[in-house]
Amino acid sequence: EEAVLRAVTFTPAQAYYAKSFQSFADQVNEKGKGVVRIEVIGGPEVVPPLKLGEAQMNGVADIFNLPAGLYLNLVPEGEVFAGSNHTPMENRANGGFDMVNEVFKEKGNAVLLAHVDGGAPFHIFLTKEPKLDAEGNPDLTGLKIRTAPLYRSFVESLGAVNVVQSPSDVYTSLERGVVDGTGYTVLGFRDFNWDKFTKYRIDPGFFQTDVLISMNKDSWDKLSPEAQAILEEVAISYEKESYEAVKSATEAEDKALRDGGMEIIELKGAAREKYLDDAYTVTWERLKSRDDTHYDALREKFFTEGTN
Amino acid sequence: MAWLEWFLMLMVPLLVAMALGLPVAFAFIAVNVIGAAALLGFGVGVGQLVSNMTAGVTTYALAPVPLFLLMGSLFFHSGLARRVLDAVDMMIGRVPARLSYVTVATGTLFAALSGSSLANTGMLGTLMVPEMRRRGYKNHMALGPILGSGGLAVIIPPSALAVLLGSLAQIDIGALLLAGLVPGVILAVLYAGVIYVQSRIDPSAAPYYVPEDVPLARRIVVVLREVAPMSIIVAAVVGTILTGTATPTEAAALGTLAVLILAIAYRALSWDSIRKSLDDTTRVTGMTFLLITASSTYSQLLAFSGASSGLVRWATGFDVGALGILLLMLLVLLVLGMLMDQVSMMLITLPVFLPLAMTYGFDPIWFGLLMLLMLEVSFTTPPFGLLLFVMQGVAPPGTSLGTIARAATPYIGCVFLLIALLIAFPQVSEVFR
Amino acid sequence: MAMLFRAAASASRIFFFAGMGLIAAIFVIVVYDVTMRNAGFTPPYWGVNTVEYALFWIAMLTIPDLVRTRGHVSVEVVLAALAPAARARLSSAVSIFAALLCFFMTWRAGLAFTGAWMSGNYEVRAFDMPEWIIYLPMPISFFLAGLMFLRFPLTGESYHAGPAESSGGL
Ligand code: NA
Ligand code: NA
Repeated sequence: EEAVLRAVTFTPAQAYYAKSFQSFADQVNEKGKGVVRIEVIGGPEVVPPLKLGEAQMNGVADIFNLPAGLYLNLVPEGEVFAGSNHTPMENRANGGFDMVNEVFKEKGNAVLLAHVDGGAPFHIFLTKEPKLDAEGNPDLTGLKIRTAPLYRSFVESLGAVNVVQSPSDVYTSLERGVVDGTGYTVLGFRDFNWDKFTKYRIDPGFFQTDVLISMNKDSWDKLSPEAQAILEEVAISYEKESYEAVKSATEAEDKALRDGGMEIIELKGAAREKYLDDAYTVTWERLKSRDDTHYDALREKFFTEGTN
Repeated sequence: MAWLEWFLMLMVPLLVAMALGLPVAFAFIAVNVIGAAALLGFGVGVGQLVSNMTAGVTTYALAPVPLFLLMGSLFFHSGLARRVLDAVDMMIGRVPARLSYVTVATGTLFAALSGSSLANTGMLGTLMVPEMRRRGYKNHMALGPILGSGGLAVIIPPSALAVLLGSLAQIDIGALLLAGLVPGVILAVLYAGVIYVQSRIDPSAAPYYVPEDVPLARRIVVVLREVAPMSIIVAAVVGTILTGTATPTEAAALGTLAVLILAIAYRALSWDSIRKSLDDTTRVTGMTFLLITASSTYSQLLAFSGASSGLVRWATGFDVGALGILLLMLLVLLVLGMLMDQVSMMLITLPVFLPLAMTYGFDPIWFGLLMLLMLEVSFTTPPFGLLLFVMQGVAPPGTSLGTIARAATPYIGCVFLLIALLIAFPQVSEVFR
Repeated sequence: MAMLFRAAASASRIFFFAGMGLIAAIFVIVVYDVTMRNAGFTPPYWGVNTVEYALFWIAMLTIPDLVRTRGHVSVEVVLAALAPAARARLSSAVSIFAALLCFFMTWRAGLAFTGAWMSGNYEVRAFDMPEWIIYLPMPISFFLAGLMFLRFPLTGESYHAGPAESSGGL
């Protein structure tokens, strides 16, 4: 009998990530005909995003399109996906993915299938031109920047005040000057029309999107080996496919932003090294302070020093 | 289970529990428990339900609700409202149905200075009814204008209800607040028209009298001293949103601050009025926020079960067109408004209406404004009309709910007229965009 | 029994005062925040999220006193249509049901609270907020609210007998 997996996404159906998840689901449904089928129930209107990690743990649905950064409270090790300077495929090949998967099973009652839509770094977008000090380091003192928990500490370390808001509030906040900027990926930035107000972007980007496709462990264990094999097979190929898709979509969006008059503040040389070092240090240190059990082993797999 | 079964399973017990008199918030909670257990299993479902409840009101967008309420309460309890009324009373000269016009003019000013129609109506009723009775005004000339202009507070910013709607429907709150300004004033003009017609039809309903003659110089002094400073409050709320200096939340706090400063300047502030204002505000905020806490999880269950999307698919399957769907939604609001309070109405309808509005490409602010107008109507439609109850509390003993409701009818007609106008000329809602 | 109800009523009152305090605090925080920002200073990073959590606390803290003073809105169409005796019976039944529901929520919210306490779980917004602090008022408030509901039938009163203005609104 065909197993039906009920899925919940962290974005509304019309957003990029939900659409990407839908194509993953379509591929599974195609390959898994008669064996396993994914049925998307909905997005944030079904489970509030901050409650998704708990919902996955409890088995509220079976399969989730959910960034690790949304449930660091349950699995602090989720930080490694964003904090990695490898591609998702490299982390899978070197065994890092399997290693962190064991932690997710234990702490989040979750089985990770794939790190999808990877490779898109976060940038800081600003309504005002950022100051650079004598060495070319950005100084965001006095600016209020909308951040996600993922890069909150890093933005704070640049001197900015971080404001946590849901993406739906950001437009008004930028318009009214409640925040002076926001962190986000190049991909999807224009969907919110934020580019109307933010005319500056700091490059390079840092971290990468940490969207995972994962399952409640009990739902996974209940599946037939055949169904599990199909899911794993599609997950591995979709991890790569979505990585390539994100890469080319990001290039197209980057061009559109530049054509729209966005000014890129490109950090160079030592300032660039320091910026990236600080970004990655902050996130890895946070993981270490929350739980250092697997810190060294994970860092070795997910991060290569001096390749920024 | 099919979507219809889930829809009925979640909707019928809710309506039954509410009809039997279980307080609305608790009716939501009861159905949530049953629904979560049925959908997800008892342990998991109820556990997730309790967890999700903490997410319902923990959003900054809802912070203006208590602040707008506090602002309105302070405005009334400090006696600033009384000063505005006295000044308006002095301004309006020798016209038939004079006190009815005074009521609408004062009510419109109150609406721009307070975010709560309940407080406005209570205040207008307390201040105006005794005087109108003394002058021999009939019920429809006395109670009608109070009910009509009391409800203006919902449309003219500041408005706690608009904030709530904007937040629940994810409509830009600042824009929604500003969008109500022009239609609110149009409505006030329509109300004046109703009074004019009614006083021509039956002059004895509002007996003519010659008001005390006030010299022009004195009138100017009174306006400068009593009314002009109130523009600080308008500037603090509408002005700061319009110019982009403040978010709605901050505008609400600044408005409250402006009222406090004015009350101090007029030596009208006392600890007692502060305590009373906080007390009123906390009551209404607590009641409203528990409702949202309970019903936001209800919406999640509706969505999770597939009932929301199923209903939308079903409703859009009929070929009634955009206007047909819109009128249908307004009709649903009219009927619900007879039975329940405004917050419950929004909470029940939004999960279904929003996807529909999106499907038909309605402008969210325009649609929000239409909903807001229907919410205003529901204040005065029997059997459950909060403003009717408030009126009954301040009207002469023995005034029946029916009498009060009849007095409000022409004013409801004005709102319908305005809705028709907004449908025909949507640009009326776009003046401040 | 009467003493228990009196104590619960006093506790409800205190909770309500705490809610009043939180509303005053929200006013102060937002004014402070907007003033700091427009004066060119850095507003406190915890402002927005603290207000957000306060909103939930207000919703919880006011539950019992609003039951006591009949402040939660209800639809009384059916009740109003009934004969006095039937009306009183239905009103009592509704109160008892509401009380049981509140005790049920006390139990479940209590589980959530102890779970959060034991696990040391936190919510990640602008700062890490221990989850048990979020849950804390929930079980206590529902317990008091249950007692307040129960008090109506046990003292021969009705939740629905209040004056119309007692049901608040906007
Ligand atoms: Na108003
Ligand atoms: Na009504």
